[in-house]
This record gives sequence, C-alpha cells and structure tokens, in this order.
Amino acid sequence: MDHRTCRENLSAYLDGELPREEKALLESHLAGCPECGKVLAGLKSLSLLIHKHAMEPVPLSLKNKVFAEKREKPAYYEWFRPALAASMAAAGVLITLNIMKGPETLQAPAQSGAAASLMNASTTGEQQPLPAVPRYSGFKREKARMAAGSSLDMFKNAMPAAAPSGAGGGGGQAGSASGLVGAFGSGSRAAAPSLAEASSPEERASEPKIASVAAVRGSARVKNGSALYYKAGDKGAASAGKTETPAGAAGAGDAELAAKPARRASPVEEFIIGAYTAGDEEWGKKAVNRFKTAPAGAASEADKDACGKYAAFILDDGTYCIMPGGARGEFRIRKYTPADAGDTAPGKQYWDVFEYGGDKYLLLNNMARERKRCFEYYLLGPERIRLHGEIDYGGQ
Amino acid sequence: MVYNLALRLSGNTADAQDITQDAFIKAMRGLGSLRDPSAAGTWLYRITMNVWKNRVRSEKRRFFWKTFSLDWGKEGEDGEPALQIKSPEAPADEKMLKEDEKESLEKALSQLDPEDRAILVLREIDGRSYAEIAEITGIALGTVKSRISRAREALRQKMGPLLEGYGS
Repeated sequence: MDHRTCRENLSAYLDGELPREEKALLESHLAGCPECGKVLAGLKSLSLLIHKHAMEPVPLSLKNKVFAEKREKPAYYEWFRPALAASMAAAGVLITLNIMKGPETLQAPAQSGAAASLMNASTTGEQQPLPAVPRYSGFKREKARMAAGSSLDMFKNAMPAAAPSGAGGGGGQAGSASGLVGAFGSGSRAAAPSLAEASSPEERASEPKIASVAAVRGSARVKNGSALYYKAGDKGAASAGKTETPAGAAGAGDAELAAKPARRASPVEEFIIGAYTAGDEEWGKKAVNRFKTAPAGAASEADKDACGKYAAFILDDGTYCIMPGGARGEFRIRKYTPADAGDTAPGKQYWDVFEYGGDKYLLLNNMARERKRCFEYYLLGPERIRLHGEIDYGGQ
Repeated sequence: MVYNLALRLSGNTADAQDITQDAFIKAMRGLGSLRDPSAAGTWLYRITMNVWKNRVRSEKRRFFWKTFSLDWGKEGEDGEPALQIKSPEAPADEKMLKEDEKESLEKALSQLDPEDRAILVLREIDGRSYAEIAEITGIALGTVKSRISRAREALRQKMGPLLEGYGS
C-alpha cells in the first residue's frame, strides 16, 4: 500500500470501517512507515479534541420552547374539536332544512350575486361559472413559479453576441454552454429571445467583435459599456488578436494583456477582466486588471497569497472590485470604500453575487440599453464566467 | 444531539435553535410514520437535516428576491455591500497556538462545509456508523467515507501544532 492510499484509508481505519483485507494491508504499511503513523496519531488526537470540545450544551430557553410546543398542541386541538363539531352540526341542520323545503324552492330564481349563483350550482347540479378571482400580479406569479421550482424558465437564456459560435478550438466553451442548456432546460432557451436578437442592429454593430471566442470566458454589459473576462494563459488569449473594437481602435490595453501569458503553472486560475466604453471606442482604457481564484484544493500558502489580489472595475458611480472569496473559489464584488481608495461617491450597487441552486451568479443591474432595463445573470465559476440570461424589469 | 447537529449545520445558535424546534415539531407530527422505534435517533437526525436543507433553500429564494427590491444595493454601515457572499475566515496561523483549544477547534470547524461539519459530529460525538450517516444525510456510503477523511485531514492540518502530543 502506498502513502496516498494509506492516508485516504486512515480515517476509516480509525473508525473501524475498513474491510479486513484493506485493514491488514494498512497495518503492515503503518508498521514500516513512521510518517503515516504520525498522521494517524494526529487524527486520534483530533478525535479526542472534538470529543472534548465540540459538544455544546443545549440552551435552557430552547428546552422550554420545545416543551411549551408539546403542551400547546393538545390545548389547540381541545379548543378546535368542539368548534369543529359545532360548525359541522350547524351545517348539517342547514342542509336538512334546505332539503325539507322541497323542489319548488330549489328551482326558484336565484338572487343576484356570486353567492347565490354558487348556491344554485351546488344544489341543482348545474355548472355555473365561478365568480372571477382577482389574479396575482405578474411579480407574484413569477414568485410563485419560483417557489414551485420552475423559476428557471424565467431566465431568458441568452449568450453574448460573440460567444455562441464557440469556434476556434473552443471545446471547453462549447462544453460549458451545453452544460448550461442541460442545467436550465432547452425549452426555456428556445422560447426566449436571445440577447443578440433583442438588441437593435445599431446596438449589435457597436458591440465588440470577438476574434478569438475560445479566449473569452464571458462578457458583461455595464452602463455605457461592457466588460470581458478571459482566462490568462488561454491559448486564444495568448495568440490571436482577442478583441476588436467596433471603430477599429487598436485597444492598447487588450494588446498589453495579450502579451501576458500565465506566469507559472499553478492551480490558481487567473482571470483578466477588462472594461471598455462603447462610446469611447477604446477597449481596456477604463479598467484592466487581473484577478485570481484558487480552486478547491489549492493548499499551498504561495497560492493563497497569489489570490489576495483583485480586479477593479470603474463604473459610472464609483469603483468596484472583484476578488476571490477564499479557498473554495467564491467571488466577492464590493464597492470601494473611502478607506480603500478615497472613492466616496454614494450610489447604487450595480453588481452583486448570489447563490442559487448550488451555483453562483453575478447579478448585473444593466441600465445601459436604451429601451430596456434589465438584470443580467452570469454564471460564475473557477472555470468560467458566462452570461446566463436576463430579466426585464421595466422601461426607462 | 439534535441541537448540536443543527448548530454544526447552521453555524450559529439562533438558527440552530429554530432548526431544533422545527425538527421536534415535525417529528411529533410525524411520529406515526416511524416504523422502527429503535431507529428513532436516525429518523430524528434525518428530519433535522431536512429542516436545515429546506431553510437553506428558502433562504436562497429570499436572497434572490431580495435583489429585486428597490434598496437592494444599499450598503451596510461599515461600507460593506448589503448583499455579499460570506467568505471563509482567514486560515489558521501561529496565533492559534496561543488561543484556547476550543476556540481553535471552532475556528477550524467553521472553515469546513456545513455538511462535513455535521457528518463529523455525527461520527465523532454520536458515534454513528458510516452506513447510518449515509442514511441520515442521504449521501452515498463511499462519499461519507471520503468526506469524513477529507474533513479530518483539513482539521488536522489546521490544528497541527495543537494536536502534537495531545492526549498522550
């Protein structure tokens, strides 16, 4: 048995959950391996420590609450039972009286009103239309759908105009895109207009053309502009021209980024984020930065240090930074505070990250589009940041 | 133990109390569905797990809809955004040596996944077998084994200096 297998099985060995054969193998390895023996001793000490400290006393208030709940329940039923019996008896009397009145009463013209029509329907067997029930507002309906689990239909799955083709060695891209379709249902995707379709021809013309789709991990439209994300060291990012601005501006920031491949082989994922302003026709001028995130398992201190950096975005109301939240690869986005950079401009937060269905999404409050105000969703992950969809929340 | 399981899952006493209370209420209501009284513990823990999962799910839903309210972007008093994914605490360092054992253990535990914490507590404190833990959590037996191993290894590394010679 090698070290790795031994380490994997030490915990089960400690718990007596290892099959006999594996146990014998492990014990023979332990006999000749002081290093693994030390790990086992550490695990035993850990067990003792957990035993000693991890049990918290139950608060007295909780005990009282639980017992109070027990006491209250019968009292509730005791009150309810005679009330129910009384109401049932009353209903029985009424029905009996109604029947005793005879058929002529039943066929008498009904009084106006919903209650009368309902009574007629129930007594004569005719199916009268029910009085109209006020409908929920659209918002509530969506909320109800969300609660029912079909909420994902509301996401209008749309990819950025540049991304769908997935050409040029974009195997990983194509894979993640199909994963998204699988996860959120092809039906909703087919039914909803794509972002590209929703955009006017002028808008589409002003969007950047992505020369190398494989390199682009995602794009975000922000007020008066967009941001692109791509992974450092990506083949496409290191080779081709990456992006072309609509008016043929060279995009100095982009060229600079293109010249920088990943510095070293590391479990840390490095993303490059650049924001540009469509009106300025200059890519990379607003903000270009890199940020890194460590996927689960990046344990070395050097890797953790490398993840301490963040990328900054400048939006119209201030500066925001996106940074990895920890060893699990979470993303955090927050606005600069005066303590950070002296940026005191108050205002709304345009970005946020939320978690749903086990995935993390970047929520972007997009107020850029002339006829449309919407939230856009970007699926975040250590491997990808992809536009997932958008929700219209009203006109200007 | 139900309270401790809830505490490890939720990570705070207020939620743990709510979860415990809900779990007991559900257990009392569903007492008739308990076929094997000898498995009452497992059954109650499973209810606790489900209560926690439902809470997490509904919290996510609440969080999602919160983003649609008009003041969704308001910042907290300390300048931090109102909505934010909580990042794990800083990794253990040398200061840990000086801290109380319990505090160090709590800090290390807080960096684990909630389910891993719960699994570990079920194993270490309640002495549940891997099969029982699999039944309680609804996780495959092999996964239980690997998750316990992974959680212990993470704790061992974080608690490193404190464990040396402990209990010997």
